[in-house]
Amino acid sequence: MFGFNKNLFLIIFFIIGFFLLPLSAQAISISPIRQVITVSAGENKTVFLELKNNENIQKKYKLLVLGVEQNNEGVPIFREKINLAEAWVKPEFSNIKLDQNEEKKVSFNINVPQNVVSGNYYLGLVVQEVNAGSNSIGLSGQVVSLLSLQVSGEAREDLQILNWQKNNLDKDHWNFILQIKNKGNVDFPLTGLLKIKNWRGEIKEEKSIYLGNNLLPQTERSLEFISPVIISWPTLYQAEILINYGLTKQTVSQTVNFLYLPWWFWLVLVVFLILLFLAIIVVVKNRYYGRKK
Amino acid sequence: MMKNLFMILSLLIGSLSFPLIGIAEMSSTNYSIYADSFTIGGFFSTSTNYSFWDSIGEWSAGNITSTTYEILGGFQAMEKGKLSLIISKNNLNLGSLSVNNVNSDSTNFTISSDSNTGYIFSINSAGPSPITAVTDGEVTAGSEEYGFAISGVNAAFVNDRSIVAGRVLASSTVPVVNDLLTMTVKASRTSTTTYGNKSQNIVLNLSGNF
Repeated sequence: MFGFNKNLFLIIFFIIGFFLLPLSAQAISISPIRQVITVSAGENKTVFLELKNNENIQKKYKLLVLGVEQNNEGVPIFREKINLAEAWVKPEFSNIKLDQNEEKKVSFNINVPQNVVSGNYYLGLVVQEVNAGSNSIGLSGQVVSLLSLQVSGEAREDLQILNWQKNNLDKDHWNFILQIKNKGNVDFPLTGLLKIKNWRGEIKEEKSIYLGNNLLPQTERSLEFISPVIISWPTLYQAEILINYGLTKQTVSQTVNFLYLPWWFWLVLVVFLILLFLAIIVVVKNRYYGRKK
Repeated sequence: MMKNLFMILSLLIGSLSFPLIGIAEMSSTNYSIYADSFTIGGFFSTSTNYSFWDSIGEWSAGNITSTTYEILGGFQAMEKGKLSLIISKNNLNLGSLSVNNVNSDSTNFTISSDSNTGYIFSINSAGPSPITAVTDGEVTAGSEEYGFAISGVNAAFVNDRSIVAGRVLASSTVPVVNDLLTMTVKASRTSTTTYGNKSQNIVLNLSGNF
């Protein structure tokens, strides 16, 4: 109708799809990388952040305070409205312009309300370049300074093992699944120890297990690790996970029992059963013919 | 003369004895440190010694029992050093998609972290996938797929992945200087893929590790 085919029409529309836009870049640095401050309920404090625009043009940045949570793999996720402490910390500016290579120190004012529950509150002090938006794939970089805001009072460390199981990955490897939860009100570091014991409780293998970075309060973490099969004798075994955590140096452990039956065990069993069967036949035959005689 | 000597001696003894008392308190191995009695870290300190940060958790705690301890107010400390991010290109353009090949565009990230726990670089938020997100590990010509690859020494994976919030691009557990990463966004289409303007905004997040 318009003198060109439908395919050409489609291609033209796809060309519109991802427009060419002028190139732009971002270069920002912040300091400190993380900080901890302990405050009492009802108290006011100030923390600072140094920013530097490492580019050769003026840039505009947003200053934000975001809550922090960890996903099941321990990756920090910074989001709004996930931590009530976000409302306690305000940057002195919401936007800031920095000239080329300019450095500036900005303050974040902390006002902790009265009657706040003690414990650790985790926040990200975020610097993000203000982007004009994009008609294609727009990338914005946030650089985050971690703020651990500790409200004075009782800090409770409580780790629970939600799930501990052993699976056979293949004939040479085991697959362990561990799920834990921090049920306390502060974060803590964790170290793990895997023990394989035989039915008499003798340790056949012991190895350290990396459980990731600090576990934030009320956060779950799922871990999966693979271990080579290190035992040979078919019998009942125990896999025990022992986790040491926190300043209170507590230990939590859980054990899973399992039967180790390697492939050759089945072979031996089959041969044994065949021999047993043959032996029974022989015995029965002998008795039968013995009676006849 | 004797009076002056007496005064000098008194001053000497007095000035020496106070720091000695202070040192004795600070070397205590229990957790009863009342932070208001001294201040460390923060912009009040010029220390860049990372081992200092490692002990912070202990320094801010007091009266440890079997399962709890007491957080004492007034303590402040920080891990000095810088965290920096350079993005070589903020806008990626895939041009017009074709059924015969995979369109792509790349940007470089340069990360430096003085933190003794390194860094973690992830997608903090991302708009909806403009076309079907890749699920099979590779954006393939002739299929409708959209995703990205990341390369670099500390890259988190080697195949093509979807662009979703929470996806870690790279991480390190040690300090890094100018750690270079290349992100390649890829898209492919079928002959029935819906045409039109496609866009996505992605917010990337760089922080130290906990």
